[in-house]
Amino acid sequence: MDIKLAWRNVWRNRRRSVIIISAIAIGLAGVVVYEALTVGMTTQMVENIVGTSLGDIEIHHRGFQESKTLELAIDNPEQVLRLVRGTEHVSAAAPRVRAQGLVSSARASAGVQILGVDPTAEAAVSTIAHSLVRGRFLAAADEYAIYLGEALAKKLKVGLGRKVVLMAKGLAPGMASNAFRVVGTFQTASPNFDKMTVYIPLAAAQSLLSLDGKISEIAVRIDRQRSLEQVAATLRTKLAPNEYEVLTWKELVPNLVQMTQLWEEWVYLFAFVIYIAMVFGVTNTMLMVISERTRELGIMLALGTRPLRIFRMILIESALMGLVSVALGSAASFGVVWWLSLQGLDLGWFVRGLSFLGLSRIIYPVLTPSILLISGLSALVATVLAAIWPAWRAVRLEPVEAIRDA
Amino acid sequence: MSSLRLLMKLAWRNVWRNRRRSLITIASVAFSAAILVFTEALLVGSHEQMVLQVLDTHGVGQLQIHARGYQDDPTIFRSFVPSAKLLRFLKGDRELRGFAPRVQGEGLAEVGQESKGVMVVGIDPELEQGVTPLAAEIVTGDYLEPNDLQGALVGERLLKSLKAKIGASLALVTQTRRGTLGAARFQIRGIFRTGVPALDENLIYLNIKSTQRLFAFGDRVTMLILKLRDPTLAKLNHLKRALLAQVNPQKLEVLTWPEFMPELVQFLRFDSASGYVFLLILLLVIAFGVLNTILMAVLERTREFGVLLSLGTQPRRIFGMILLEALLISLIGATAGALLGSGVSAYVVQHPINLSGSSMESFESWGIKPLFYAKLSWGIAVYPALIVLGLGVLIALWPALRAARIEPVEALHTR
Repeated sequence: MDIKLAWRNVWRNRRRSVIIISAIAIGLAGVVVYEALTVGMTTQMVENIVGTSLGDIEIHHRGFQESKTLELAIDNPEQVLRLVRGTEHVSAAAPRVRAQGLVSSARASAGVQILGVDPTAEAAVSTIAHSLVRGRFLAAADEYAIYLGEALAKKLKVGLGRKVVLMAKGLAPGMASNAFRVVGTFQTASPNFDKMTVYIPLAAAQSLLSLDGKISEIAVRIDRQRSLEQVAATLRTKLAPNEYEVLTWKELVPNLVQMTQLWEEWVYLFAFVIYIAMVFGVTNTMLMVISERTRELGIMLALGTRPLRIFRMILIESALMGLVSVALGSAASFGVVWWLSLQGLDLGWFVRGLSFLGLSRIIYPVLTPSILLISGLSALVATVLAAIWPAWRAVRLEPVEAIRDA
Repeated sequence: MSSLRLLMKLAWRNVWRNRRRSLITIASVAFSAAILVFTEALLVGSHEQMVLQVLDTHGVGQLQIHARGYQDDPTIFRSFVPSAKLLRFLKGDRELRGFAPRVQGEGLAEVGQESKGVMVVGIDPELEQGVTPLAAEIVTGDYLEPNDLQGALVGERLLKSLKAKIGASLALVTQTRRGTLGAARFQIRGIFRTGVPALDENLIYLNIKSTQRLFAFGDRVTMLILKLRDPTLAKLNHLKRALLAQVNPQKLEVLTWPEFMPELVQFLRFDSASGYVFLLILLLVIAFGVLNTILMAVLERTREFGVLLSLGTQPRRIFGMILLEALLISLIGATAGALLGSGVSAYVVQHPINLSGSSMESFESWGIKPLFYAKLSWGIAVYPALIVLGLGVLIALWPALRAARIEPVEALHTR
């Protein structure tokens, strides 16, 4: 009954209600799209790092993460890989050798990170094979082939089919070096990574570094992010903790976690300010509503309507407007997010690139149900809160004066 | 003149006819103006500080002189001998806080069994202190003595991955300028920490003389880095032009920080853009709220305008009066907001917001302190307020047009 009455009241002044509903809907849609873009950006940042050079989870010999030394290697890779691949939610796993070295051409040299990979397995855990610019990715039959960043190839002034020399310190005493033939170049979202990373076949890395079948890490991809901790926990129970360390990407790149957190906190602050602006608009509108209906409210009070009921009705009226706004705002944000996700938001409109953040120029929004739910609820709460003062004023009217007033 | 005064007086009275409504409208205008001013003050202030801090921690100076082409192709094959004329000019320039030569190239560092690809940077220990805070970034051991040709400063993370300690012997293998292999032994004298992982795990500082020998450079340098007393972009560009007159532009290139660190400019632009998008959403929400109040105020007075019109008042005067009312409300709101926003900003200028202990600390990995700075200037306080003021009047156009178009007879019939 009260709801029906409040609903009718909302539409007594259509123009006014439409304007305030638009204000809330626009604010809400703005907040939701803003958040969706932020989540889209952080997701992309994580995927660009995790999907290129790390993995959702990495398994090392205990202590490797801290020291990065080749001596702490996994010496039974086949056995561990089998165990990992048989774990639930693991979609792929690949062995890697990770070492530091110097790559030289006739023209220049550069300090690099050497990644020794199994070409087939690596293509399943990382996007590096798809970041191809020229030539091809490593193949299973390759012996001394090298796949390097396009930027690095430019710096070294080498083309496809040319030779470069890799120099590194392996487990054997002294410096080891060998020539590798360039088979392809890649470009990822991170120019730094492109400038200092080379991929060579796993066997070649093991022989260059005298690793004798050992590897530095196993990169693991999982089929859904929300199982991250669960898969890591399972792996930790399966692998002897005094011999292996199992690290999720959140532990591998804590900076990234902090950064994404920071961005999300900012969005909350933005949203908060927008909601305050909404409160101003709604309070003003509801005050107008009250002053317009002074006489009517006076009569209601005079006829014995309980003040609490009037208070409630005004809140309900505001809440109904809020509900309509939330519905419209959500629909609008769906529309905008859908439109943006078709082609992505090209940040090239105002920046040349964000590669230093590990971001591509095109951002795809990610709209999660929780974003929509939390933002919508906050907008609703804001509209109801904004009506409290006007409602309280309505209740405090002196019936006799109110009737005479109009 | 007197009619304008009359109009003014009328508008002023009308604004205060419904005091509560006007006050709330003024408050929402003031709120948006204050947020606008404060956001702008934070953006400008933080960006300025960010630039200075990033340039400092990265030890790159604010202006660099390279051999032509080095920026696009930073290899040891692009170097130059600074002319006596250029050095004299730099020494004589009073705008400069300092300048320092650099020799840098890549190499492989070895300590015992461990090795790692590194960036070798040769510095003049004395001149370096006028340009970068390296000496203050030493956490263990000592900074390089001017005549110490054996000493090396190593980043904290690099030291760890080389499993080395202070005093350890460090071998460096490099490619020389002639294409041959160069190698030499050094001793770790000090450990530095900039907070930027990419620097702390990659850089080794040596005396410039030993670096020149390592790369077979002779008297050549990779770059000169300069730092100004007052590093505004205008002063930097002014100095750049003066330098270009001193050197042969066919051989050397002079770059200001936006040119040698374009990614920093991109980040600042991105940050500003996302700030402005937020302000735009805020303004839209506020605009609708203000539109509502003004429109309602006009509709409430339909009968009044009807009377005015039938008494012969020209519609454009009614139009003007409503715009004037909106202008008054926005003016009071924007002024109050600008004052409030500037007040808060002025406080933050004196007391930067300390966000250490929060996720702001992730900025440290870029060489930025977790502090929020603000900057206040006339432009920062006035422009946002003007935007809000203009918007207020713009919003009132529709209600004003409606009021001017009222049919007198019909209007008189309304209650």
